Formats: sequence, structure tokens, C-alpha cells
Amino acid sequence: MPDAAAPTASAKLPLRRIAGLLGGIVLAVLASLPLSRLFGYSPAPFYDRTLLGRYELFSPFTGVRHKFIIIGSCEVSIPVFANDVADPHLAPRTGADAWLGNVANDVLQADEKGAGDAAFYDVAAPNTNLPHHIALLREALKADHVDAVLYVNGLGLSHTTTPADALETEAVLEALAREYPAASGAIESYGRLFRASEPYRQGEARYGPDWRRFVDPRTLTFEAPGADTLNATFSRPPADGVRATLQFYGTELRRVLREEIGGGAFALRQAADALGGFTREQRSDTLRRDLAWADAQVLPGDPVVTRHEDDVYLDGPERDLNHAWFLMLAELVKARGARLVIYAQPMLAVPPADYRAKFVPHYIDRLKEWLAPYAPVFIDHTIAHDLTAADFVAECPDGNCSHGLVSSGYWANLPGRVKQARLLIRDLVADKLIDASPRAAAAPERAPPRCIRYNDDPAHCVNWDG
Amino acid sequence: MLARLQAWAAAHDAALRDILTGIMLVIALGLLLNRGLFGLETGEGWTVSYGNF
Repeated sequence: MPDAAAPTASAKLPLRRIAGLLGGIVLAVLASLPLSRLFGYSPAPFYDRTLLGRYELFSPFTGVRHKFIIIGSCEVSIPVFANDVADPHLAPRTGADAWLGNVANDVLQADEKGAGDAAFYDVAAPNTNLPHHIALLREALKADHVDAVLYVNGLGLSHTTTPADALETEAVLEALAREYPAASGAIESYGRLFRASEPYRQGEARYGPDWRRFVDPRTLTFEAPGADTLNATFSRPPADGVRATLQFYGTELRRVLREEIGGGAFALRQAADALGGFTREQRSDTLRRDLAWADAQVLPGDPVVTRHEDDVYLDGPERDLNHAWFLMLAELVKARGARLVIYAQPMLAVPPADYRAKFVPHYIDRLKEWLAPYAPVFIDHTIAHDLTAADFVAECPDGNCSHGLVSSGYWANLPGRVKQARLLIRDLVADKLIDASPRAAAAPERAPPRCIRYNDDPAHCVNWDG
Repeated sequence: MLARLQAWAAAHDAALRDILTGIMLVIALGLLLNRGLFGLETGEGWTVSYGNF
């Protein structure tokens, strides 16, 4: 009898042990979830609005009392260290520490005294234009302690969206009107013009008068099957092959696992931060290491800059929409009790002559005229900067780097972002938006002599400093 | 009370070890996946596909 019973007991043993192990795993995951919710904020923002709430801008534990939020399109939302010269295609390498906000935070702490409770945050995504920016603004304004919204544009002045995006924008406008009654007049003024636009009419015709049933009530994203919203391109797998799809889901799985079972790690980091600015130090070290790497990536030749062609900026066919949109922006920021900063970032894409003849009258001066009652702060570094062609990301035309290099002249790389951040912070301190004082007397600005070649006349160069 | 607890723990020693192993596994995986939070990441970035933008 004992001989017959022995195998049964030993067979039960692994099952009991596996059950114990699984029980432990379940217990640990259950314990991790609330810690993840409480402390698990991402140090980098997300393009996907449905995830943006996990960005540390919204963490209640940052200790930041003065938040400066950067809203814009690809010129600020592609975090590039530099082109990798070891790569045959000179592919740009990116990473979270190259976001403008992250760079600016490090420069702020390094250059200024007394700015310990101020920080920059990026709420931006590539390929976005004005309707998308209003959705990003709505998310950003949910944060506490928002001192200022830095709005970056000049190149993405358009209201053209897909029909699905137009409906999503309308849902956002309706929500904003409810959430900010003081700004509802300005929102309605823009909404009236926007609803008369072709994409909106197409959207209503395609999805019917009850299209709101496709709007996710939490994220306000338009979720009709196959809807081609911009946010869907960030939140759904790409449609270009099995490998890309698998890669997408692999990254997603890793992100979800990292967030859900990382509660202990997040709590540990929070404790280290409470003891002595651990995260800040760590990011500063990472930034310095990546900056050293970026400095070593010397491109084989000077890139030719793509000249930005726009004769009218805000004064084109969508002038009324532009006017209503910027009034809405100013009203919303005012209703939230924050300052509006119109920030024209450093560029090479707009040469000095074009800047004076077109950009200033049709963008800067027009905004000064429209927004005069709100007295926003204007920071215009479009040509007033010390960046060179090497401070922007370059591309190889048609993927062939032996044909020369082309630069957008507006996607700054990591060294470019450091220069950009220095100029930005200098002006924010001078305008008293940041209460700090320089650690050392500012060195006289000595921009290197710059003669920039443009794609429309690569044989000659434009003297930027003459 | 403590003596009863100790007796109970001794009686269920094997099961408690298994549960603890499960908990440690999750904690270790959580730390591993989030090693970037503690400066242990290798610093590898990721490359941008211009097609996405």
C-alpha cells in the first residue's frame, strides 16, 4: 500500500508548488498595481493622448511648483541625439533625454540659481497642426501648477485634418467649452468656423449625425473602426508588414509589463528622489553622456538646408480660422490662470531675408496684433540664435548619403537643443517668468560665422551674421 | 500569538517559500524592466524611421 501511495504524493507536490508560486506572483502583481498607479509616471511624454496621463507632468510627487509646458509639432517633439555617423544611412538616434523640456530642465539647474521648483514639460507630437494642438493643450491644462504654456509654431499653421480627426477635434472643443465656461465664447467662435470646414462636413457625412457614439468618453479619441485619426497612428500598429506589427505589440507588451509590475521599482525610485534628487542627477548624467556621444558625430560635409516656403503664414486662406484659434488658445490659457508664451524657436529653415519680409509681418506681428488684449510673452529666436547647420538633424536624400546631406533646419539635435534651451531660459528669466538668477555672468554671444547653403541654390551660401 | 504564528509558519514552510519565490520573481522582473529608472540602462537609443513622421 505505501508503495502505491508514494507516486500520488510526489505528483501532487509540483502542483502544490506551482500553485504556491502562482499565488505569490498574483499577490505581488496585486501589490504592485496601486504602487504603479501612485508612482509609475513616465519621465518621457507620449505621442498617444490615451497614454499621456502617465507622463510625469501629471505626477503629484514631482515637487515642481512652476510648470512650463511646451506645445508644438515635430520641431519640438522628435527627441534626437544626433545622426549616427557609424550608420550607413546616418540614421538619427533618439532618446527620452533629448526632449527639449528635459534638456531645458538640466540647463535651468546648471545655469540658474533658485529655480529648483520650476520645470519644463513637453506635450507635443509630430505631424500635428492647430486642431491637434488644441487636444494636446486640453491634456496639458489638466496638470497642476501650470505657470505658462509655451506655444511653438510657425511651420504647422493649418487646420486641415482627416474627416475622423475633424470629429475628434469637435469632441474636444465641446469638452473644453464645458470645462472652461469662461472661454466658451472663443471656443464657439472657432468651432463655428471649424464646423464649416470640408473635413468636418465629410466626417459628419461619413459617420452620421450620431458620430459621438465613437468618441471615447475618457480620452476623447475618435474610435470608429478604421478611423484615420492622427492619434490612431500613434496608438495602433503600423500597416507596413508583419515584422513592424510584431515589433509594435512587443514594445506595447514590454511597456504594460514594465508599468504594471514595476510598482516596487517606482516606489523605490520615489524614495530615492525624496532623499535627494536621485532622478534629476541620473538624467543629468545621461544627458551629459549622450551629449558627448552627439558631439563626436561629425557629419561628412555640411548639410544643405531646406528653405521653408511660406509667403503668408497666418494671413493665408485660413486667416479667420487662425485668428479664432489663437484667441481660443489665449482664452483657455487665461482661464487656467497661466501665462501664454508665443515661442518662435531657433531655425535655419527661414533665412534672415524671408524672416524680415514674411515671417515677422505675417506671423509675429499678426499674433501681436490679435493677442494684444492678453499681453502674451513673445520670445522670438527664429534667427536670433547661435545654432549652425550641425545643430540640426540631417537626412540623406533618397536614403543615399553619397548624394550630400539635407537638413530641415528646424529639427534641432541634442547640441542644438542645449543652445536653444540656454536662449529660451535666458529670456524666460529676463521676462520674470522664471524666478532665478544666473550662476555666472552671461558670456558675450559669439555665434560662429555662419554661411548657410539652401537647397534652392546650393552653390552659394547665405551669410547669417552679416 | 507569536508562538502560534511561528508554529503555523513552520507547518507551512514549503508553501510560504513558494509564495515568496513568486513574489521575488515579480519584483525582480519589475526591477529588470525598469532598470532605466536607476541608471542601469546601457544608453542605447532607438532609431527614428522618417516614414513615421
